Amino acid sequence: MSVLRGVTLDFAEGSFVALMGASGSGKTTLLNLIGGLDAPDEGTIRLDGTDYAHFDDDGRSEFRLRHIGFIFQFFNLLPNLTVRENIALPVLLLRRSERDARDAAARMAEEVGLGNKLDRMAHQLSGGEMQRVAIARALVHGPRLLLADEPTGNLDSKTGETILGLVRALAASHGATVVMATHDASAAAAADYTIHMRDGRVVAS
Amino acid sequence: MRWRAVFRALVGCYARHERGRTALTVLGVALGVAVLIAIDLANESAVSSFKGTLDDVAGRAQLTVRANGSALDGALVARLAKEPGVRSVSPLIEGQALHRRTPDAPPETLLVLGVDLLASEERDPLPVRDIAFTPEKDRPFTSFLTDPRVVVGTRRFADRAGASEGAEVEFEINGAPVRMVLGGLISGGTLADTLDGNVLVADLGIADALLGRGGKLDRIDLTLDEGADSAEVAARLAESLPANALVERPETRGERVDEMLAAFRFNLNALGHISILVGAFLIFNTMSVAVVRRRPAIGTLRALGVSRRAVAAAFLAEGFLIGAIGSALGVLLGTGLALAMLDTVSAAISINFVQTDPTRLAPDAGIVLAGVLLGIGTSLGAAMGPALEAASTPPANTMRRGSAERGSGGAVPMAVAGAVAFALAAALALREPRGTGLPIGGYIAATLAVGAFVGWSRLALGGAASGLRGVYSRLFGAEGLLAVAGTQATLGRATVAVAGLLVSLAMTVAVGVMVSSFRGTVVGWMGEVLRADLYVSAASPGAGVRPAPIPAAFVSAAEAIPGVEAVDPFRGRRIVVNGREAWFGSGRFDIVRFENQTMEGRPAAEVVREALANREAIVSEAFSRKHLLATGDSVAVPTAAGAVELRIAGVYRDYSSEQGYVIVDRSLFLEFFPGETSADSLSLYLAPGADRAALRERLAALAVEVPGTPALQVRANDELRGFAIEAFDNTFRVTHALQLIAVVVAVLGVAATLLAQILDRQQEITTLRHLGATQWRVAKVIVLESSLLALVGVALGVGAGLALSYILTTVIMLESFGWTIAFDVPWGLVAQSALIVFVATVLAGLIPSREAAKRMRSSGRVAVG
Repeated sequence: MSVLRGVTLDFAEGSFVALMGASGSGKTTLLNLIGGLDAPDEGTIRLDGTDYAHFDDDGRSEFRLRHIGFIFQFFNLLPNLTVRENIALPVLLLRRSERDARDAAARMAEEVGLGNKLDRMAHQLSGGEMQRVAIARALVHGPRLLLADEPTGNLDSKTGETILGLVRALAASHGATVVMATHDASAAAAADYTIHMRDGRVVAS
Repeated sequence: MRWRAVFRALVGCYARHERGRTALTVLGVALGVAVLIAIDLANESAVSSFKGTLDDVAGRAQLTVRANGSALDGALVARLAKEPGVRSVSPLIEGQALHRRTPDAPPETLLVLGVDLLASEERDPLPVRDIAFTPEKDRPFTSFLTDPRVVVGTRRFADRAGASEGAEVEFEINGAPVRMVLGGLISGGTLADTLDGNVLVADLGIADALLGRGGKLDRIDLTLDEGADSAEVAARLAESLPANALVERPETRGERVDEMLAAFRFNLNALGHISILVGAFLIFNTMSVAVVRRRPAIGTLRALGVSRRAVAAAFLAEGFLIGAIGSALGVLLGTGLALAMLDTVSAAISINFVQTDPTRLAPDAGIVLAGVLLGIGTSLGAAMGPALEAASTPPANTMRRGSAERGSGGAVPMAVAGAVAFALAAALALREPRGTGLPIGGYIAATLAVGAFVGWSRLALGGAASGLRGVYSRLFGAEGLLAVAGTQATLGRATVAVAGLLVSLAMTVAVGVMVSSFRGTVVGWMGEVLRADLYVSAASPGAGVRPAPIPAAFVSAAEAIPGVEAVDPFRGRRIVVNGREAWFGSGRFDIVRFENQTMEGRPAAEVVREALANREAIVSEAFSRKHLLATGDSVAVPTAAGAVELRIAGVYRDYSSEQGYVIVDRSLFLEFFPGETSADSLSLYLAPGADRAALRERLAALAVEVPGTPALQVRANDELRGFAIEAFDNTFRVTHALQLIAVVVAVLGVAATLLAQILDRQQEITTLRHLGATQWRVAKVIVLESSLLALVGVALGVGAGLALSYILTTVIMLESFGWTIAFDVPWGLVAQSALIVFVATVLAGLIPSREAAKRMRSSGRVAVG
């Protein structure tokens, strides 16, 4: 069974794109493909000219680690790591020095407004703060692409708005392209443009 | 119906999905039950074969009057027959006969039983009633009573000797050749297989003449009038009978055997129970994880109106099923293990006590049932906590996603409880030892000491995780950090795995240290004690029967061999002192060599010289401890002339008998037992430069030349030491197998814990995958986690093991056997055990890490968040 078929999309560098569609429309599948979590049966996925769609699983993981950041609806922080450790994780996974990781994490924490909470445990934060940490973590290693899956789905509308603003501003300052899957029309309104999906196909953009 | 639906929703579907985890838990129970059953079965088979032999020979009298020290006077029979309450009396004598299949073959020793055949037929207190007499048609039954050449043999013996019924067979009795007719063959009943058939039964009068007993008896069996109180009759007889007559009830005899073996069995059983304890850790662990994982399902069912009780019942049912299946597997496994262990256990009993020869495993429904009940009980007990937790969680909570752990409190109170337990253990362990024989205090101290370390494990793991967070993260990067954080996130569950690991390693270390200390002590002791050049002993004929003694003529002949400087003959008699078995023995105090040996700080040679001059005894440490008698005290020893009070001149170290010895000089012994000139064993001191090989040949030749000499074993000093050490190592071989199993169960426990944590940390794995962690990096996190658990478990296990070994060596062994053992830690061995457990545990982390990697592969298809 094909989940996605005939999807051809081009995201301009530095753009903020919203993917909209009902549940089961293929948004998340598309995000997973772009993120290299899944490989398509056929077709290509390029980032800066590199087609990584048919790398093996480890190759795609490595590619994802270097070039892609993720933001989730439920934040997906590791509850027993501090704010600093959560943010530093991608840097550590890249096997950079601990000092580098600490410094980078501190800088990112400042950028998301949590410079004073570096040593808090992740589970001690509010929802909005958790998503800020997640944004910092997604951008700390300087990815080219930021994938967000319903990033405001678990936040009240005011906090959601703030978070979207932050994503937009930070992605711009770090030179990352944002692809955001969402149900929420008001969230999609914050994007440069919106791609509508239904039954695994792009119906409008 | 509803209950079944609940069970299916909460247990059935999960068990199916988590086949690996379920199998691991079942295996844990199975191993625990198997070890326990195996130990009990092998033990029971060996012991019952030992006891069985005693019973075969002892018959089923209600009361037995036994010779203690010297033989009973024949006149006692008539006197006992007149006692009120006594219905009948059956006198019995025991002796030995030698038989050679060919003139050059080494002789076999047969037990000769002289019984009142006529009386036995009528009143049947004796096993003789079981003899399937098959007298030849033309030989009247009375020939057994009247013909002085007729004895009854066993079918087994006749087959071996190539003799048929009615055939004449040559024996040697008291050094003289005797030709006897096998007038009947025993082919069924209890006596047929006793001592592999090496039993001859003759009428009392015939046996008396054959053995030259002069009317003296070894035993008189009594049957009592109906309604007579055997305890009352026994007490009355004990008052009036002479000092050398010991009144026993059959159960007393059994008790004495039990007492002899109790310490030995206790030690093995303790090991078995530790194994099942480790199994319980495993069950508790997996069950509590199961509850956490199934919280959403519990919540949904509770929201749908399912009662708390039904939820708890479903989890208890799961515990029961795991216990039942595990126990059933354990019975099969345990029976196989018991068969494999039987030889070793019976060898251990033979070496420590008397020869046993169990050829079959005695199936014992009681043991199997006990094992199964314990397996199911432990499973249910372990499931109880998690089941109650499941039932008590409010539906709203159970449906919420989130951290599995309910806080990480409790570490400090547990640690304080641990400290209290440790202080109590130390107080118990450092008490003055008593000669109880059953070291209850020691076992309580051991349990408390291990409990203390278990109590400290949570604090230790939490502390280690905090302390090592930086180190792990520096050494292993992101994986190190994640491993430590993962452990901290599931501290409670991880603690249980660590506790299982620590208990099993503690046991391994403790037994290792104890055995090594014991071995070192025994080797050192043998070096001091074994000073002679050659040792000669009679080969034991078999279960419960002493070897035929070495005749005095042989001793004199050996003394006369050129190159032999001196011969020290040892002769011992079993005696009962204050209701406890002991040995009364003799040696030549004038020639025994005690170089560098001391007794309680004094040169041993000086003590022995004093004992010789003052007609005093020396006693072994075990005797001194069990009878609470020390130097300067007196011990009443039963002799032919009645009880004799002997002053104790000194207490010497000995590890050859846990019943203990009272030793006097040979001249004094011969005063007490005139005519007991034969010996059980000889120590030969050779002249410098004597040709040992030639001397051994000469001794072998003498054994053939001197009439009445039983089959002999001649061992050089180093051979005897080697033999003793081999026997020692054989005794403890079982222990090593058990240690291995306990460690396997504990390591499985760690694997199961980590596996469960992975199932519980799906979200974390998904996140890591999104962040770009590869499968092997996630696997590395799990392996690093298991290394952290292993590190803490091993450190605590070594600590607990050392504490436990100290208690085992200096308290439990001392009280069980009465032997002082020098506590000596074999650090190399401890390090080796620690390293093996550490590596095994880390490697066990590979099982869950594979599962993690598998979940990684599939997690891309799981909706993110």
